[in-house]
Amino acid sequence: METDEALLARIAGGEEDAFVTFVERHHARLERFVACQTRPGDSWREDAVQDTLVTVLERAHTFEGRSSAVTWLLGIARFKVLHHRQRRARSREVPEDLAALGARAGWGAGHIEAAYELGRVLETISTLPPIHSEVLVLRDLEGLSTREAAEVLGVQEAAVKSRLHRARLHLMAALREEVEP
Amino acid sequence: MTTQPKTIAGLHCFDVLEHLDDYVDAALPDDVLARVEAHLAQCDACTAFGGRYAGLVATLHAQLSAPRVPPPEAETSPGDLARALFRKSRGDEG
Repeated sequence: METDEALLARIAGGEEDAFVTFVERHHARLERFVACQTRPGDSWREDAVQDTLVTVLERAHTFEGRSSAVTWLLGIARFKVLHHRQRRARSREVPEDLAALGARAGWGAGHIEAAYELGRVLETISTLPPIHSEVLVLRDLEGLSTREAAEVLGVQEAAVKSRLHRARLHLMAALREEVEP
Repeated sequence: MTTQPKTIAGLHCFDVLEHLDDYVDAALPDDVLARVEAHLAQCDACTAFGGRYAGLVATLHAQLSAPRVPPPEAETSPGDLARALFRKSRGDEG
């Protein structure tokens, strides 16, 4: 199978079949990354996907292979999502005390639901603040390493770990609050 | 019924909560791991919550190995979308 790096080099050279192969290979991943950060009814979901792909076409020649092609692609997608969401208005997190967050997530509650249903989990991720949904998608759904996620997000690895921990707790809390509002 | 957090095996429940992510990801140093496990062995609340937390992470990771299928509402195949975008970028659409 032709590598992503080879495909990007051919895309930079203007070869349509390389772009088609690249898009067919990564479209589902890209769409999920965007979908998990948009709410039902967000009209710009498809625009963000297409804008990302257009940027791949335009910027393939700048790919230097310092990160993986997936990291590069999702970094572009993240920028497009932020652009559509108007970044300044969205991602100021007021860190919640970990103990309070744990309590909301169900620590110490008498009853704890037995299992998670994946569809509901994915839907709930899309309702979380972007600072949480993006790290969950990158680390837990796409399987990026902490270092790769840090590259996409433009933060230190320690920040990825901290955000992921809180994101998982926020997700647990949101799932719990859906059942016990 | 609710449970009050407490200190067991030298670790408070909220310290365990702090370490839970690294515990689930098997990234704790051995000495901390031993203390967390000693706490969990005697704390039903942390054990129940930790199991739930690990279950959530496992559910998310299961999606990683699931076959990736296009969403049913997709009207245009990724290949057709790519061709359309490519030709538009070259100014020869239509």
